[in-house]
Amino acid sequence: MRILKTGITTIQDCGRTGLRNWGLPVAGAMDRIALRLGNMLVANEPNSACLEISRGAFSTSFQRSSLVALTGTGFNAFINGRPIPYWQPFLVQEGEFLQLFPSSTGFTYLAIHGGIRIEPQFGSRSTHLASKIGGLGRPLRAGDELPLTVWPDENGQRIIDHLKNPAPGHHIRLGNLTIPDYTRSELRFIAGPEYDWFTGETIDLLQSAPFTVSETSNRMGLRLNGPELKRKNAAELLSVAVMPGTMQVSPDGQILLLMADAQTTGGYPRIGQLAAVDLHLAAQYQPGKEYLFRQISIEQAEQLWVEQEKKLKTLERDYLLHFS
Amino acid sequence: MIQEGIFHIYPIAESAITIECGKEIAVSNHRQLLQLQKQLQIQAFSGFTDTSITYNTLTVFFDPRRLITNGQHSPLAFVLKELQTLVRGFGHQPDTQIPPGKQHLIPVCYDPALAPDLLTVAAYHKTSPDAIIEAHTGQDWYVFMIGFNPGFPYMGVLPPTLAMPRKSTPAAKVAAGSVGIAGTQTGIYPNDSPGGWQIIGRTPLKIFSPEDPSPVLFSAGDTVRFTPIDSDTFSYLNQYANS
Repeated sequence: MRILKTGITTIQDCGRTGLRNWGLPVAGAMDRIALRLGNMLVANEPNSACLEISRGAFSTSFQRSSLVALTGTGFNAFINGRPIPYWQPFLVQEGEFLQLFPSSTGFTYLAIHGGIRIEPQFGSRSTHLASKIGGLGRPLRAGDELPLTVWPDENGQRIIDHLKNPAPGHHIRLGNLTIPDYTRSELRFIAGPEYDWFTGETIDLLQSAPFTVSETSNRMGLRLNGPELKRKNAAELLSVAVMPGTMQVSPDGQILLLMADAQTTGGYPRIGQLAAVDLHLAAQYQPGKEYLFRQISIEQAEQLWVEQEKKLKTLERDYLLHFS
Repeated sequence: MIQEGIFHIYPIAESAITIECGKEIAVSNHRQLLQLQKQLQIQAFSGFTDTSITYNTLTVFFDPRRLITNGQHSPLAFVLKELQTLVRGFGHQPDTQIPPGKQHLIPVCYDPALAPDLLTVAAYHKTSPDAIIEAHTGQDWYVFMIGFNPGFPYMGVLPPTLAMPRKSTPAAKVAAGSVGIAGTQTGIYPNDSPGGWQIIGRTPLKIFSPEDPSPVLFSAGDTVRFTPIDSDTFSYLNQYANS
């Protein structure tokens, strides 16, 4: 495929792990649920490399017919001018153009059967822009040619056959209970290791005051605007491990919510850790929207994650069975 | 929180558990954590993916997906138990049984042109730039951790004659290779980046090379000795010249 126009688009999969002691961030897709569902829809492995598209119009042409799907949010999509829905597989014919126009803030994932076939670096195809590692080592540019798989595999071929000869009245769009509800404004978190460093009023505020996301946010982290979070003491924290979802409080009393490109260590107190099941909702934040935090126990957070994982596993199995 | 001898064990997320040793910067505690990390890598539990070592913590990361596939209802409870068993069996290792890390000799040019904050540091300590250089090159520094940016080594512990708070306003651009001081730590910037450390010199050596299969020069547990070079030698050795 050939990139004709792009805002900030990078190649992302589930990121690289095992290299934190090099100071190398995990990187990978901001919205892991959208990445995973996109890969499922085109019969990819969950960790296949997709395009993560954000900020600005995007267009690409396909040199051969391809099985693709769009997930996430933030754009209106068209193939040769025909509007195309998200959350379902479709075929792009040889020579056709896919265009995306921004409709709001957000990350959209373009999943292509077989994935983007560039060489992995340190175990992942994810782009980490700051260290120029993975992907193309930079955001995509107009003129980039991306290698795709030539022949579909068995599962891919079944979906292609189905799309060519759809049964009457048959749709394979994901159900509304499966598609993430990006309009939700409640974000759940667990207490962080330095939770007790903050005053009682601050903890109350954290769970009652609205927070908005600043425009200066990026793949490294979201800067939140809210009431000043006050400390009981002025102790200096020795640098500790941080990760996507960590809620650090900067010296001005505001939350930095770390995201996919989070550095590996940090020296600001960690008031909380976002529940893993809500991380993709924070990634797809809307500017100006008011978010509320709600504290849950780590046992609850883990249970929510286990339930979500079981649902996704079942869905992935059923989806492929559907075409067999 | 679980206490096991000198270690505290507590989860920080659904997929990460921290083992803490002491509350302050101490080489002896850090070496215990390093040895624990090595044992963990040798006898990895099911689902283990990564560790991250800092001054007084070792954080263990795992993939709960692999554990629920194996039938675990609570991956966290499983890993907590694994780590508790590991730490209990580990006890407290005699320091002499822990092998030392690599030793590095790192050339640094302390020429004022490459050391924008050397005079400030000297003034802060009411001494001469030469005395600061002498103190900085006069002993080995221990690498506690790599963090902040890929390849950035946090080294110490600086004596009170060298230690100095970081800048109140970070510099917009610190050049790659810059050697700085922050509190009782000294470090090297792997890439051009914003930064708040007091810059007292620059090394011509690349300490992070993403195109290299082993891209990071330092590891936690290594020791570093700085050696002063003049600006001609810096130019001759400069690995950043064509990048």
